[in-house]
Amino acid sequence: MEDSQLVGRVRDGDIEAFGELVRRYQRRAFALAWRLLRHREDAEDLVQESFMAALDKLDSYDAARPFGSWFFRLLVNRGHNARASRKVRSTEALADQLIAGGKSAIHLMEQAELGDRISAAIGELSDRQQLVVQLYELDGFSTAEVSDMLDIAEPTVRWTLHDARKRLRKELATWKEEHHDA
Amino acid sequence: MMPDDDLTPAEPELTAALRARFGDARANVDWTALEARIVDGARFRLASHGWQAPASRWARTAIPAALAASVLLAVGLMLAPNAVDDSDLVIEEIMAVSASAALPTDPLAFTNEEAFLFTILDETERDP
Repeated sequence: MEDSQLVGRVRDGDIEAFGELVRRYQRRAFALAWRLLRHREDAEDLVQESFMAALDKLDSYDAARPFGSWFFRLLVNRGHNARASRKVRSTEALADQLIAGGKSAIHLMEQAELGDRISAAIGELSDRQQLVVQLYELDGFSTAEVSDMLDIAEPTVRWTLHDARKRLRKELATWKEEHHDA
Repeated sequence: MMPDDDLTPAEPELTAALRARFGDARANVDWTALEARIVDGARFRLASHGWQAPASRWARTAIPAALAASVLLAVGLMLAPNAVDDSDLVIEEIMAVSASAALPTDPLAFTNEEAFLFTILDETERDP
């Protein structure tokens, strides 16, 4: 069943149709929310709030347009607001995740240093471009999906990835050279 | 134009570095629980605010219709005095015509045509 048909049924009060929309979009929604807030529980809250907001605003949704683009735009706006209002908890400590993975201290330091460089290289991109990189490179979304999720033209997504990889490869090469020399 | 191979999977080292820095978005998520939480919230919302949907649907039609009617009424009221003036003018014209010689206000008075006719008849009678 098409999304627009499901939306029509939800407008008539069909909760099962709403459940189907949730199943279709919750994983992508969560990935996007997590990338915006960097905290699992906050991301889950944002996903839930966004679905509730979508339910409230369903009358303003134009069925001629993809539901995903409309919904993700709603989520991104709410995510930016949540981040700006500092209602979210502090971001998860990535070092803790690494320690939990059983890595050695030296390896952790090297990874942290590389991470700083990667972060600096990525930091030169806009927030939206950073999201593009993370959603494509880490979450495995296609360029078409990222384009849909962030409401950006697909060629722009591809160009952003191309540009980001060039920057990251340069940082990685420099880091390798320094560590090889040491 | 960028080459197509730029969008093949990135080097594992690059991906690992990015993952170390930005983490894994989908780790440790109970999708079934999240779905249930969202659907339960929606069910509660529909149950408590279910009346809003038909009301808002009704309002979507009624509000523009009421606005259109108000605008028409306002325009009608603005134009109404002119319309009265116009009809007054027409009435005045009719009254003016009725007050003219063609329609004498004195029912016993002759019209111009009658006077002209009587004059000719009088002269004809006098001539022989």
